[in-house]
Amino acid sequence: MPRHAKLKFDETRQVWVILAPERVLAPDEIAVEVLQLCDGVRSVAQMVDQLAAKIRRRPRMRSRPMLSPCCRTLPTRDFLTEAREKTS
Amino acid sequence: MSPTLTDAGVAASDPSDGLAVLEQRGSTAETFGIPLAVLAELTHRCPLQCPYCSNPVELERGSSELTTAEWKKVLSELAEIGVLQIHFSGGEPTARKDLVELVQHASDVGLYSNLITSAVLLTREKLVALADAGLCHVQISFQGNEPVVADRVAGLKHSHDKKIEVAKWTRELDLPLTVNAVMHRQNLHQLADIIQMAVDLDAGPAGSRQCAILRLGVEKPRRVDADDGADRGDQPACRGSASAAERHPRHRYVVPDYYALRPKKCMGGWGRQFFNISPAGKILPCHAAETNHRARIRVRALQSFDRLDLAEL
Repeated sequence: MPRHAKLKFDETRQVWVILAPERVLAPDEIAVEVLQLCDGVRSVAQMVDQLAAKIRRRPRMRSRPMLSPCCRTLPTRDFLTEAREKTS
Repeated sequence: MSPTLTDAGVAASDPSDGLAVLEQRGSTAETFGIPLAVLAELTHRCPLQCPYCSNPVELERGSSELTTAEWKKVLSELAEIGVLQIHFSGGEPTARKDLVELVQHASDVGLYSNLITSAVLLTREKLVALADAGLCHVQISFQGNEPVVADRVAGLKHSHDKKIEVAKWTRELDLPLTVNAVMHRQNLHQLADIIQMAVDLDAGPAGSRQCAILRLGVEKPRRVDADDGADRGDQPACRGSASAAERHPRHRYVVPDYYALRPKKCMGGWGRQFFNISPAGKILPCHAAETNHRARIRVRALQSFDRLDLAEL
C-alpha cells in the first residue's frame, strides 16, 4: 500500500479501516484478508497461495474470483498503486 | 446536544454520511458519537494576511497557547477515545517550534496526521523531519496561480514561489499533496489555471498522480452550483475549469452557505464527524463557533478528556 493509505483495526468502531487523506474507508472482510498480505514484498501469486491455503482450496484457483468488488476497485482508486505497478 | 462520554444513549448518525457504515452496532463509537477527525489549531500566529481568514477576529496570543506537553496529552486522549485523523492547522502550524515533536507523538499514538499549512515557513530539512516523524498528508494553501495576484492576496512578497517550491518537495518526499484555494473576485479568473497548477504540481513519482486534491472555497461568484458539475454558472472561467476537473480525479468545491437555501449540516452534524480545538484548548464544533454569538455556543476550556464535554449548543 502506498504511504498515504494506512490499514488498521479501529477498536472504537470494531471495524477495519483504510486511512487516506481526509477520508476513512471501510474495506469489506475479503478485502481486509487480501490487504493484510500486501506488504510490498509478497507477489500476487504468493498471496493467492497463502489465501488458498487458508481457505483450503487448491492453489490453481485464480486470484480474480477471490477478489471482492471492493478489493478490485482499490487499485483504480490509487490505494494499491505499488502492487499495480509490480503486477502489470 | 452533543454527545459526552457519560451519555449512554446512541448518538444517531445520518445513514447517508458514511458514519453508519463505519460504526458497528453497539460499538463505543456508535454509542458515544466519536468524531473521525480533529482539527488542532496549534496557534493563531501566521505570516500571511489573507483577508478571508477563518480564524476569529480576536486572535489568541502566543502566550495563551497550549504547551507541548498539553498538546501531547490531548493527542493521546483523542487516539484513546477513537479519533482517527488529526489535522495540524492554525494560524500557521509551522510557526510552532514543537511541530515535529507533535507529529511524532501523533504517529506514536496511531493518529493519521495531516499538515494544513501556508508553507512559507518550511525548509526542506523541516519537511524531511516531518516526513520522518510520520506525517501522512500535506495541504498547502494557494492564493492564485501566479505571484502577482497570489502575493497581493496573501500580503507577503515571494510567498507564491515559496509555496510552489514546498509543494515540489512534498511530492519528492512522496507525501500526498492537497492544494487548497479560496476563490473570490480577485482570483476567480484564475480558477482553471489553479486547477491546472494543482495537476502539474502532482507530477511526482509515477503511480501517485491522483494524490493532489484541489479544494476550492468559492467566495461571492455570481452563480456556482456545488453539486452539479454540468452547471457551473455563466462564467467562462468556471466552465473552463469543469473540463480540467474531469481530467483530475479528486476535485472538490466547497461553496459558502449563502448560496444554499439553508446552511450545510456542519461536517455531518455538530461535532459528529469532526471538531476543532483552538490554540488555547477550547473545544469547538467548527472554526467559526467562537465568534458566532447568535448560536449561543458556550465553550469550555480544555482540562482533560477525562471529563470530555463538547461545546454545549
